[in-house]
Amino acid sequence: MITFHDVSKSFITNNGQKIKAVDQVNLTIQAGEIFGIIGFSGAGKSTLLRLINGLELPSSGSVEVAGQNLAQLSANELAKARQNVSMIFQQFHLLWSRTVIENVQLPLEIIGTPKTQSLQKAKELIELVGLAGLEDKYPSELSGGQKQRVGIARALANDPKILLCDEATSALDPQTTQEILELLININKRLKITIVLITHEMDVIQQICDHVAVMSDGRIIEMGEVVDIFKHPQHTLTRQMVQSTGIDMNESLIDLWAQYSNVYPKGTLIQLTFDEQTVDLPIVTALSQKYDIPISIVYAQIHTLKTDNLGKMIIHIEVEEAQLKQLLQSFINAGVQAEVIDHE
Amino acid sequence: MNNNPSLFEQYTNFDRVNWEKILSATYETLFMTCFATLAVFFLGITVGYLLYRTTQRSHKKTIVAQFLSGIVNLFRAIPFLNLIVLLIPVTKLLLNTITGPAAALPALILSATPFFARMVETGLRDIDRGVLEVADAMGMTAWQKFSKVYFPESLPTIVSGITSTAIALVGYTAMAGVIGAGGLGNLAYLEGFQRNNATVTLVATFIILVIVFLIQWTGDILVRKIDKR
Repeated sequence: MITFHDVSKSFITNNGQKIKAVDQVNLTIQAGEIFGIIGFSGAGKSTLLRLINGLELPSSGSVEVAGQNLAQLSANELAKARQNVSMIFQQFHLLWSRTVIENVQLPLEIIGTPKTQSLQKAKELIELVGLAGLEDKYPSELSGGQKQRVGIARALANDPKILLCDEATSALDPQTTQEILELLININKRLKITIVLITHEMDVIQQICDHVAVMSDGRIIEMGEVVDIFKHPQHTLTRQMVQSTGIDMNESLIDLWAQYSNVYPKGTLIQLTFDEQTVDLPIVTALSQKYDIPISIVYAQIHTLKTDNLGKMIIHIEVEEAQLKQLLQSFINAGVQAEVIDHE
Repeated sequence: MNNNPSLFEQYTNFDRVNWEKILSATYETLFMTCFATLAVFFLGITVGYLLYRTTQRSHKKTIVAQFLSGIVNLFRAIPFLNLIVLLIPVTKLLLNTITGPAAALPALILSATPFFARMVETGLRDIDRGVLEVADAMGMTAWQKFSKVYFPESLPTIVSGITSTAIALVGYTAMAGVIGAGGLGNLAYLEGFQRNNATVTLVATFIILVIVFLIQWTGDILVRKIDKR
């Protein structure tokens, strides 16, 4: 559905400096999937997203959306191609001067849909996003979550093939974030729309994405299925992001490790990763009994991914080197990924 | 009859008021104000939109922007009284007369348009940039962007701007009396000042106040009604 070939995008800042916002990016996004792009602010995610609807055009390389190279289209063709791609935003960007239903009808007015038809369509969409009864309210009368629902309904009005989400849940509280994410999954399933979202929250990726790309300084440093990235994060940044899910976001795991080593000055800290097959098995207890080793559980968490469940656990043991090796091997044999993170 | 009437008598000598003249002067003031306001509304929005569009980042420092901005600043700086006298030959050429309410219109419009255009420009600048991105992302044409985003989203500023402009115009019409444009200002000058009839001046002033308050009141109500922010 979307293909990036060696795409770079540079900007000249006001003081004449050249900044590479997107640097040599190659990626493919399949039709019907939810694709997440994660990175800290300034990583180039927003620019990458805007290359998909042609709000930005690449400095080099090519972006193909639904079989069309956006850079080669005339202004008219580009406007038409944009009808296939809709966008929702962190700050919603609704027109305050229009009611809920009038906001949803806006994209239909642009393409000249007859009034009765657009009214019908808008009503259905408002129903779909769960705002029935609020058609004639103005945005200023709505909560943040409701505003984002209007944004989603508006984005769906012209039956797009692709929905771009620009930090769509970052301005919402956790409860509302959940509701909006569920709505996005629902839309993805029911309408078979390809969703591309950018976020700085790994929780969002974890919950709804099929594939993820990790961005840093304009480059994609890691990309793949969400399950694989969660199981085997390669890059340090990705590790930090994966480990930060479920833990207080303000504390990086490195800080946590420092704390653990205060509590356990001796012995070994081991990180275990359980996948879908092993997540519900009592492997730790079994091995503890088998080798008669006391095992302390320092931290444990089950990540509910869109497709899989994944368990993360940090355990502490005090054993001889030989026994440690034996234990690690036993974990691996049982299908659990085991990794020494701090030793003596 | 007392040769030295008291202050109170000077202001309340309603016998000397020609109500027919008052009525026609009121009509002339209303005509000038309404016509000029209407013209300024359309011209000012056009000029304000152009000012806004040409000074956006991509167009910055283009010749058009500088020219437009220069013209607007120039006409805003000329005092109204100078402008109306300055325009006498132009008015004569355009309307074939230099007296009567219509003769005041070119000067009224020319002086109020830059004033209002700057307010329109401010209103447009205040629009959420994200909303403009939405408009682009939806593939709106320039006209759709103006009619569906720029105009409705800046309407409260535009309405309060045209209200202030209309009130300023009422004041200008009074000044336009010097070229014999008619209206309540002219009447106050001719009857009140030259013929020493303070009552007429008082009545004319009162009517002008009523007009101004009505305009302000209507404008405030409209703004409150349309501003859903």
